[in-house]
Amino acid sequence: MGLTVLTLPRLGETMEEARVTDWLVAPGQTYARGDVLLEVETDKTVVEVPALASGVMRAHLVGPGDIVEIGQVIAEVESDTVAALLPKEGLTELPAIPTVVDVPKKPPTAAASAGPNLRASPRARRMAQGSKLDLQSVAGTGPRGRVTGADVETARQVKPRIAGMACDRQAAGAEAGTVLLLHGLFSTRSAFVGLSARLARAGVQVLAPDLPGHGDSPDASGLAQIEGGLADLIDATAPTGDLYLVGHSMGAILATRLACRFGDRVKRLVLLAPAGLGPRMNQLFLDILCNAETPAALRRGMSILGAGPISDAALGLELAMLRKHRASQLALARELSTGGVQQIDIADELDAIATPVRALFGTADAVLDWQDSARLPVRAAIHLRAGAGHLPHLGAEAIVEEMLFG
Amino acid sequence: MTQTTYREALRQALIDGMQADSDIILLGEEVGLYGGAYGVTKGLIDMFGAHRVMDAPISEPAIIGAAIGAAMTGLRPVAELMYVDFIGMAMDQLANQAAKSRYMFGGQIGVPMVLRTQGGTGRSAAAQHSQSLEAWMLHVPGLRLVMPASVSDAYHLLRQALEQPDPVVFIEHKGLYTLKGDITAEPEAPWGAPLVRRAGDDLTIVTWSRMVHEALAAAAALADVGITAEVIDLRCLNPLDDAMIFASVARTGRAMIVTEAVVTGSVASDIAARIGERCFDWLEEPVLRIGGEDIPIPVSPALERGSIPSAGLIADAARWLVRREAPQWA
Repeated sequence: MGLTVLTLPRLGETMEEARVTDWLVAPGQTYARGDVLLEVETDKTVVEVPALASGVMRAHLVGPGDIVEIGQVIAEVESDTVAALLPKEGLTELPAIPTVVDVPKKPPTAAASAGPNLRASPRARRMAQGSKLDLQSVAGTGPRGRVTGADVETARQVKPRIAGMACDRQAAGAEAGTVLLLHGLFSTRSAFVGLSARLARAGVQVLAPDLPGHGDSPDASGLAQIEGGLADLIDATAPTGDLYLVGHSMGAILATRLACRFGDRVKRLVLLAPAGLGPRMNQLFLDILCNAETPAALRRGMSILGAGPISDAALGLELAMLRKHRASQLALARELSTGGVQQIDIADELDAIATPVRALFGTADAVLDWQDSARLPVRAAIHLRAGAGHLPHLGAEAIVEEMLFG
Repeated sequence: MTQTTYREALRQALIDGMQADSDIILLGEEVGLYGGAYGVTKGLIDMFGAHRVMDAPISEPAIIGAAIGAAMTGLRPVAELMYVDFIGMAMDQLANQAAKSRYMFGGQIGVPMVLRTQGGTGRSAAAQHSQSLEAWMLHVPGLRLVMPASVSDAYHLLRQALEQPDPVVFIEHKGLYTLKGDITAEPEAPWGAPLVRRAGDDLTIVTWSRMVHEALAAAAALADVGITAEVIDLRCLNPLDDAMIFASVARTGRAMIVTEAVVTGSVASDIAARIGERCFDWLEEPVLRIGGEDIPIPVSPALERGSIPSAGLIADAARWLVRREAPQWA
């Protein structure tokens, strides 16, 4: 037996420090290889630190609640294996040598072992993927520590990943259901101000987020990431109950994918001048808004929307927003359209869902062709607004409400 | 709505069917003067005459072969096979003639017949008269396969079987003939559609024939300990609209198939595999099959009961599936 010290091993890829939760081996107590010495809490989970060699605990050098960095000495122990591995001379002077106890990078834990040995049911894996949750951070309560769907559900409620997504929420928790309003590319939640108030008065919870890559929300890498964030938003703010999804233009693609994801919870899908149906998109519009540096250029681009005059103040705000999120929006624009040809087709997804679909088109839309409506499934209700441009819902809030609940 | 028995519901379906369709004839061992081994055709020879209710010699190939020939030439015969255990005697007639004729003759000839038979345990009828052989039938493309569990289904599924263009194997359960119940005015579900007999959220129990009643008893016991089991009665094994099963399992995340047949090579195995293929991403646990022991059915009543699942066994298995509570038999 030689006297040595234990240091805190790295217990996860991103771990830099951990908080000691509890010691499980008291000073003076003998422990065997594999016994759990202590529990520490990382930023992801509570982890048990096992002994890699048998020995005797001499003294705890840190206590519960202490924050400990990787490599920091945490205890004095007597360990035969460590002694045997060291040179014979100097055995008695070992305390001065900072011996690193080689704990595997990802030790098995009571919660869920990591990597390929992670125990999780298929259902839990699917749910975790859907909400971009790291399964390794979820405590498993199933057989042999298996992570179950219920565990993922619990973890999602504890840590809703809406980090930084700006969202107007009205009539929170209303039992009649939740309406999610998804704006289009280059827009913000302010596009739905009138509609949100109207719908909240109708007694439903209204969620109007700034999509990632827009407004006050953080940047986004693409539609898939935005969709995941929106799914988290729904899980966090409307975990149960009926859902009504409204999407404008690019938002219609997101709304359709969310309708697939949430299945029969979605009672109606309302598409406003939806992208993802026809072959063409006005590339000039995308190019101007992706590149506009001056109010004059932006004004020309915005005029293509066909939504009437826009004030200098509003134009200035819009320009600032576009500049702030230029990289995200450029990526989204490319994901939507290349050389004027739409890259995304949601017709099959719309065909596959049982949710009633209603769509509104403006016959003077200069960004997308209103005749794309012919590609909607035959059971979809199509509403045409003569003379309206790419924002057919503006000034038609009552129509949209009717489309949602009528 | 009339309170009646499974046996009487079957008899009524034959009477109503024969009155509505003069092409329907019955033939089988002792279906006439004796009234059928389990009394389903009692009195029908007096109502419809010996030309429509025919006692046959003791030859299963003759009975089923004659029925197939009659069906091919325009009648709608209902052949009675006293025990499903005897089907081996007529399997060539059934699998190679009845099931294949429409295909072999390019659709010009169909075999619209019903083979009524009964199977299962419950009467100490021993190893050669107690089997559940639905897997043999389900493995033959071209056969329809129906196994009613309720009084109403006994009536309506038999009436519907009498309208099918294909040969229908209609397997009754010898332990259900005295079951009492109502015949609903309309069928409880369309032909080929399973029926949720009890709704629940914690697990899905898929079953058919007499095991429906064991599963329902288990579900009632499970409710007392806070587990809600959804019990689905398949009713028809072919055709089978399995989408409803998948929807249920996708919701509950746990599935158990309960069958009275031996588990090895069973219909339960096939349903379990389908769920595994279609619902993998929704499953919390492997799909469980609860079935009969892989043994000949014993004649001793106690051993016979022990050779097939009971409500207690199903409930134990459910508690293990949902909560990992170890059952006594494990």
